Amino acid sequence: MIKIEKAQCTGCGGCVNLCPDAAMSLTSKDIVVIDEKLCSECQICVKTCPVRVLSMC
Amino acid sequence: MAKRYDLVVVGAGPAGCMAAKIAGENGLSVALLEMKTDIPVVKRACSQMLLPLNEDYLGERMSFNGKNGHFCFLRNGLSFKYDGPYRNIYAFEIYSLGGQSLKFGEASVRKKLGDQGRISIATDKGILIKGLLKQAKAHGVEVFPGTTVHDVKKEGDAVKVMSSKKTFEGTFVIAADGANSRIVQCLGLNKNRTYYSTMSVIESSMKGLHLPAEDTVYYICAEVNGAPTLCALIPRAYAGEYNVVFITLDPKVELTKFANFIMKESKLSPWFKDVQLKISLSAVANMYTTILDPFKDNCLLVGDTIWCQESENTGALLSGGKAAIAVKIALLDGKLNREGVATYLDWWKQAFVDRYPRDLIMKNYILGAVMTNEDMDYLFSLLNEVMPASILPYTLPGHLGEAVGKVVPIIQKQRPDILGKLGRMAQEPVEQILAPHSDPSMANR
Repeated sequence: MIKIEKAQCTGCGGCVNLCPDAAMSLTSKDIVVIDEKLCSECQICVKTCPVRVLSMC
Repeated sequence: MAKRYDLVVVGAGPAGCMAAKIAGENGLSVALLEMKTDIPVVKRACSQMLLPLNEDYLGERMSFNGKNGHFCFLRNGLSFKYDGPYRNIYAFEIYSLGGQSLKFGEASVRKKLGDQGRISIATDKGILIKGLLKQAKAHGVEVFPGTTVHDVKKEGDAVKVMSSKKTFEGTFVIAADGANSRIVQCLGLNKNRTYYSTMSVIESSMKGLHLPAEDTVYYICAEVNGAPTLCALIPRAYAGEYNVVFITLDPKVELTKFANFIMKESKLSPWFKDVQLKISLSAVANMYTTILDPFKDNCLLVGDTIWCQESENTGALLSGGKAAIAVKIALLDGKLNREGVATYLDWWKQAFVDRYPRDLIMKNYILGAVMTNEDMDYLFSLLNEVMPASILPYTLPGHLGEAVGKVVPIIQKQRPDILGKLGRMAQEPVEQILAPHSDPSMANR
């Protein structure tokens, strides 16, 4: 499961389009959210995030 | 039955907003989709400049009239109104970590020329986008924020755009969803592109910097364990404020650590003695070779979706506008296909593909991959002449190359190893130079 440090997310959306499963989107507050049903835990988002708010747990 | 739009635009950045505005003004029915909820709020790191204003780009000469906010692509005749604050930027300077600098123009000299001396303007990008959006809506464009596109498919004579909200249908789609375009990926167009690496950026707005000169963009060019890493300090539209971005081409580099090193320990730390690092924005962008043919399944691709590294705000605005015009012509001619939008495809070929060498923009970023920080100190120390004022990544390498050419005999005598490294920059494929810093699993194919 991918964990998100919501308070640190800047809402840049970079991970949303780089997710191979299209499992990510932005909330109404422009914070990233993951649909776990679609997420294959490839961790591309973890590698990509410039502010390191995503991690595997 | 879903509403059929003439045009669905995906992405409400500068390219998408310009496309929607131009399409709406010309009577097309348009749906503009954006994944963010609040479109004019800038959430992605950006210099927020409009450049260049003192030289051609894409075969265009760009003009900004501060009196009425009129920005015009003079040769194409496309224009828009920007009614926010702006500041003239007159020069560009690159520093090595050890404090040696390369000057492209000198602000104190060029400022005397007024608007004629500027190389770019700083804008408030949120206000710029807000203005374009307002103009688009005034012409009937329907805007759908909070809408994330996850797939696109041509079915019959319609293109279906599948999103988090609903499925949209358009006769044409303009993909303006940026460097990591979902639409480009869905259309399979990343498969034949060479992937260079992924650029990571963090940004902090700063006030109270102590920089050598005003009205100047500064770059600090460095390497972190051989990974090209930079800091750019860009004046904002508001007096005394800067957008400070920290960029790396190797996602393994810890940008916050690099930022703290620059600000607290490096020779350039006096610039930052009165400021704090407060990261408010970030960005991540895959860098690939340019898409040469920006069309598939009635989707026209614009802005960062097709460019190598980035289009600049101006490239985004121009390509978005050109694509919208092409769609209008196609609909008027009843040619709902590639032939109908030939004006856009022909423009792209002559404006970009045939004009700029494939790897050219990447040359601006890879010095740190072939040279150490000490090498760059040495090289920059030899280049004391003020080079022509420019901030355009497509002309900077040429100016630098010319200046280096004049000191080659000195380098040959003192540091022949540096000549070897410069040779790599000139001859070795960029993807090879960046290979140690690049993770192919991130190529979004």
